[in-house]
Amino acid sequence: MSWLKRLFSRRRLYGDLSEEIREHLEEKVEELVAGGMSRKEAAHAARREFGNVTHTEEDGRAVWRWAWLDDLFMDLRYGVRLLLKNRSFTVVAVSTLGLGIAAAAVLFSIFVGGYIHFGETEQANRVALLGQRSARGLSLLRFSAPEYFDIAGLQRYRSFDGFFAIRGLSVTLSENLARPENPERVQAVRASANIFSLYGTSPILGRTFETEEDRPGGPNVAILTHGLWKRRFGGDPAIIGMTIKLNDIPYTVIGIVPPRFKHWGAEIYIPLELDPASNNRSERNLLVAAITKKDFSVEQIKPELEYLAHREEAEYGAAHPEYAGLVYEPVDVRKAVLGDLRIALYILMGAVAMLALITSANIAGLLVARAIARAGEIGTRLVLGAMPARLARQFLTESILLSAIAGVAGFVAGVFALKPILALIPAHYIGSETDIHASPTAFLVSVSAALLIGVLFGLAPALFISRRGVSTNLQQSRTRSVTDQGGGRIRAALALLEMALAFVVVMGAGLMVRTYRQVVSMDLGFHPDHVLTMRVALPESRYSGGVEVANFFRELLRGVHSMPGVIDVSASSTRPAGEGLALHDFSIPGRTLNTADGTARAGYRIITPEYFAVVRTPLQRGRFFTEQDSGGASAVAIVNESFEQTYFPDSNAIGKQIRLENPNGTGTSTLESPPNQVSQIVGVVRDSRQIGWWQGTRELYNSIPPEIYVPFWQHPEAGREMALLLRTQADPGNLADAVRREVLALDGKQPVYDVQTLQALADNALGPTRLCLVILGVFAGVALLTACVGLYAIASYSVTQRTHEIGIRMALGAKQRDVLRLVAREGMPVIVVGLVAGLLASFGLARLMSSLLYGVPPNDGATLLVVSVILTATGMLAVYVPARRAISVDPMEALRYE
Amino acid sequence: MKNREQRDLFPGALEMMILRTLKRQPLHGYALAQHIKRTSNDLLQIEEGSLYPALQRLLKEELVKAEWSISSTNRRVRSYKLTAKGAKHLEHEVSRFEKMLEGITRVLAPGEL
Repeated sequence: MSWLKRLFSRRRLYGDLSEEIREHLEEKVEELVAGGMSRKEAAHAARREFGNVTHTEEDGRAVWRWAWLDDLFMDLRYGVRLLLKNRSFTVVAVSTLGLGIAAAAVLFSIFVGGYIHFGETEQANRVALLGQRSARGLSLLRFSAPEYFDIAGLQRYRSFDGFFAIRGLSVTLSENLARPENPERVQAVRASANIFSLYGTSPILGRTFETEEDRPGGPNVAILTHGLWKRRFGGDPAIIGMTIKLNDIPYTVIGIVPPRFKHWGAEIYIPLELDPASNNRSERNLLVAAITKKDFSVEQIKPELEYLAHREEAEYGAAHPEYAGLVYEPVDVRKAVLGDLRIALYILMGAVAMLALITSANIAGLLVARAIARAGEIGTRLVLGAMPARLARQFLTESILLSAIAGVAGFVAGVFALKPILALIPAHYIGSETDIHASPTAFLVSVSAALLIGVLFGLAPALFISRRGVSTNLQQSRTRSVTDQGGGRIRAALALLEMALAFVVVMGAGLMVRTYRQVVSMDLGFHPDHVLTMRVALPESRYSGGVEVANFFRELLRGVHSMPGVIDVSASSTRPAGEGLALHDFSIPGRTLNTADGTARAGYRIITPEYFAVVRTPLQRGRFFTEQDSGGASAVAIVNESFEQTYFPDSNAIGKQIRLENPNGTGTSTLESPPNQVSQIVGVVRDSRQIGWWQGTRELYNSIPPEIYVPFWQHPEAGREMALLLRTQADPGNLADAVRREVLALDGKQPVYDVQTLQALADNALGPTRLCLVILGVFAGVALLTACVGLYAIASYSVTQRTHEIGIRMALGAKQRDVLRLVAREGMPVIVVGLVAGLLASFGLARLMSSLLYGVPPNDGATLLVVSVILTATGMLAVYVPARRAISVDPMEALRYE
Repeated sequence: MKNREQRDLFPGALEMMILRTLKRQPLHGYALAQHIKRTSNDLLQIEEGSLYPALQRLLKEELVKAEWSISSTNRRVRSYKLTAKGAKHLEHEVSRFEKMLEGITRVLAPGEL
């Protein structure tokens, strides 16, 4: 404890020391005076013999000090005072550094929240969805119940924790609670009971499914997701044990799962109720997924999947020819969900790193320049005996102080910027399953990055100063015409680095701009503007057959069409954007298609006659559907150009026949799977691209696949869930409520859901491109600005230093042009070398970016040219401004400067 | 900077001399300085001031303790006294010094070369 006592008694200790020394001197003087000296002489002699009183006192005090801590406080105090004094320097430094840190913190938060902590539990990162690979490609919804039990029924796996099966469906939710609400369409997932334990999730209220509940004829129980519980039931815990209705069938709520447990788009989970005794292998409508063991990559689980598929083929291949050559292929769910966003995040992290480098280089430049400006002070302090190491420590403290302030400011800014930036990312990418917040890790990383920058760039001027001799420093303070070689070289190198990095970032932004323009102006084959869309799903309980379904839609379309502001209205099984297009097996009578079973698969869309008018897809040949193509008339179909080119490459498709195959084989025909039907092709339409958020930019290069359109009036039974599309005169959003009222007027229990404009759906598909564009654009701007500041600082510094010289030159008859050239010579090499270095570096970036680009080669010449011009122009401007100042130097004044 | 007084002495010499002097009797700073100067026959060029940082160090190590009092010449003085710990330290240092001196003497002794 003595150190503590000392800390508080230091003032007294110091007082004692001073008094003691005073007494000592007095005693000495008195003795000398007694010896016959005059008082004045004695005082001199006493001091001479004593030595330097101040030093002695300082040394005496130093004994008691915590030298390190005291110095630190002193440096900090001095640093704060300096920062307050040079406000503009502080603002520039803190804001550029802070900006970089804010950007880093935001992107890091998104990366951590959206990718590293993808789901509520760590297991969510290890979900692999199983697909079946066949000649027709990969299909996911292809598992039958017996097949699932074959795969999931083993005791031990080498590379899996286990398997679960699910099937998604949308249901109409209603309830008999005290406060009745509108029926609502919600997404339900039928899941095997083990899904919760495999994901490692426990309910926040109630319980999850018991194994006994997950069997055919088991009790109707439901688990709500946190979001639905909050939204519809106000987060009331009394909901446990209550009854809700799904498609008018009562279910008992038994549990609530945590907010982030919202896999597969579910809002409600109900038991899958598979029959383990079933041997119906033709009903294939399950998704099967596995949780892989820790540290098993998707590649590493393939051998075991191969074994499982072989087992299946060996055992049942004889009775089921479709098992021939069966391959199970894993799909990494996390990667699939994040898609291009992952690459976008990598690129953006790269951009952040670049920006950080540029700002650091700039800060370093600023600090060196400031150190030189302080040469006089430093020289004086060195002369007075300051040790270079001590001075260096002070510089270091100052720059760390600066970067610590910037670190905190940047993080605070980042926290506030997170929300608006997240709004730029389409909900699908980071939507329900993730939770993004400013993470403490992001804070730690950004602040320590700031401190690291502080240390690195505090050292630069510190080394610079201590390498120079005392006399150089002192001299510098007196004369202004000394060209300082060392400092100039450092700053030129830094500005060069900035130029090169700015080039790379601007190049990235330029490529994104080109991509975005290409994508936006891409011919989609339909026009998404002024189209409102929504979904209507008719329950089987009230609309039992095709006739009722057809009547409902006929009435609805007639009603909506007569609404003011509506140009055209149609129904379609799939909207052109934001949804996946269903595929349908078909064959061509009289021909054997070159596939294993003679059938092929094409996109399949059920539409009403006005569909093409609403989305504006033009007819190429033949005719559109009409009201006459109804149940009684002969079956017809329309195909797209791609279909015609693929299957009738040499002739006209019009008049040819296709047969739509029942997906469950020829045996049974249910409402959802009509019997095989031969249809005649009556029209060929332009290709139109089905776009969705799950597509990578890369996929835009793929050619548009073949597609078949069939008339709704001939396939009403397949159209229980339809989308309504209406082309409007004005803003389509304004009509949403009117249409909803129209539906409720027809059927008061019928919910309308997923109301969106087609434009919004299409824009969503461009999400990552837009995000990259916006952020890279902002970064490019900042990088350019920062690099210009760096260049400006160099040119302006050299002008200031050479004012005297310029004055002499002008007095001796130098023209303004000569002076301009003189100054430009300082900046031009930096610009040119920076450009070349940036050009080389941007080739590397372009390769990395290529998967995000569309319609632009990574080394796009035009972009390179434009970027070079922009950088040269801004660089020249940065040099020109101080050069102007040099020209306007009045020789008289310049010479008088000294 | 820290050890200005040691330009002419080896490290710890001044402290040792102070402790040795204080072993005989408690003294205040001025008297101490005069005594060391006188005893060394002015051979050691010590700035009087350099005594004080040394004294502070000894205080901190608790080898001496200080007390304000009135001297025989009726001045307010701060006199230093050796502590038990200081006495032990001095003994140790002196024996160490003697060994060192012996070593130096042998090396410097004539005729060995």
